[in-house]
Amino acid sequence: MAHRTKITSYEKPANNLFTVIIHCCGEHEHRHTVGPEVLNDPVKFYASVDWAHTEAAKNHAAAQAADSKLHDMVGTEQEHP
Amino acid sequence: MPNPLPASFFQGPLVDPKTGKANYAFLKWLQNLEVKTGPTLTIAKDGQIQPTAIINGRTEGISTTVSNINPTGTFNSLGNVVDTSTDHLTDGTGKPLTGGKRGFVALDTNNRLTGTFRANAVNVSAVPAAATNLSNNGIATAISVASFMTQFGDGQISYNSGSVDPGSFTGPVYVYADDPTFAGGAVTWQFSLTQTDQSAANGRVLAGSITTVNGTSKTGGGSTGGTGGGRGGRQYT
Repeated sequence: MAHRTKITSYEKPANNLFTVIIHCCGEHEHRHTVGPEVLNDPVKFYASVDWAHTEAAKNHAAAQAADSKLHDMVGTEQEHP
Repeated sequence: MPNPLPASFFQGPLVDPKTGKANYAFLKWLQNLEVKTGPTLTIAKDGQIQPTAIINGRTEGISTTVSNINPTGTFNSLGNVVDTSTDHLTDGTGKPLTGGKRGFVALDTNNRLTGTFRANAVNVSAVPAAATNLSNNGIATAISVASFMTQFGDGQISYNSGSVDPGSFTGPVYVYADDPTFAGGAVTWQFSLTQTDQSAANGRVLAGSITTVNGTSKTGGGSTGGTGGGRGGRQYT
């Protein structure tokens, strides 16, 4: 399923690094820091951002799955020996 | 008695021209003047204020009122101050009051820091809870920083995930963030190929290091350093 990402802002922490803040589907935020070697190469940069989003989406999906699982477990009872 | 005293006698002669005696109004005025000045001024040549004279609105003699003021007009002792709250003072050069308050908050009775979180992050011990928190798939050059918890002396701080991309397969890549207030949460992960950058800021927290290799997935950071890196926390790599 395709996701729509948006670079909402950026930071410049130090030492010629640049951190882009990516939002996916208007939800979770991911911070991806690149150096000038990536930033100055548009192809490399967008590939890097795409990778970062993919990783963030995976993390977000995993977190959502865990949340859903826990939600289902609320109210259940278990017997213990 | 109104002040100044009424001088109705000024409408006529002060003394009876026949007897040479002062008229009643004039005598009465003199009497009132004595009543006012007698207890207030001394009979000395320079007419000093009596120590028992009372300032209008007060009940004590003036000698009591000024008892804590030196002959030079200065206050004689802070021991005679009733309200000793330093809230009334203006902080001086070097901010001794502000500094004192900070010391009271940050130091214990043994003059040591009250806890880890009163120190700079770069100088404290910390151990990441996860074995590794850095990973690279050997295909893309980007490095994933997993969310992780770090144990400090004052408690646990959790950091959000993120990623960095040095643009090539290389290493060791040292990954860290600046969190001077131990806030945790969303931080900006940074990276450097220079080892000493890990202690180049007072608020630096360390994720660890990783060396990435084209074609081979690697892990790093955390408490073990993974398959291709160094440990995070206080232990610089």
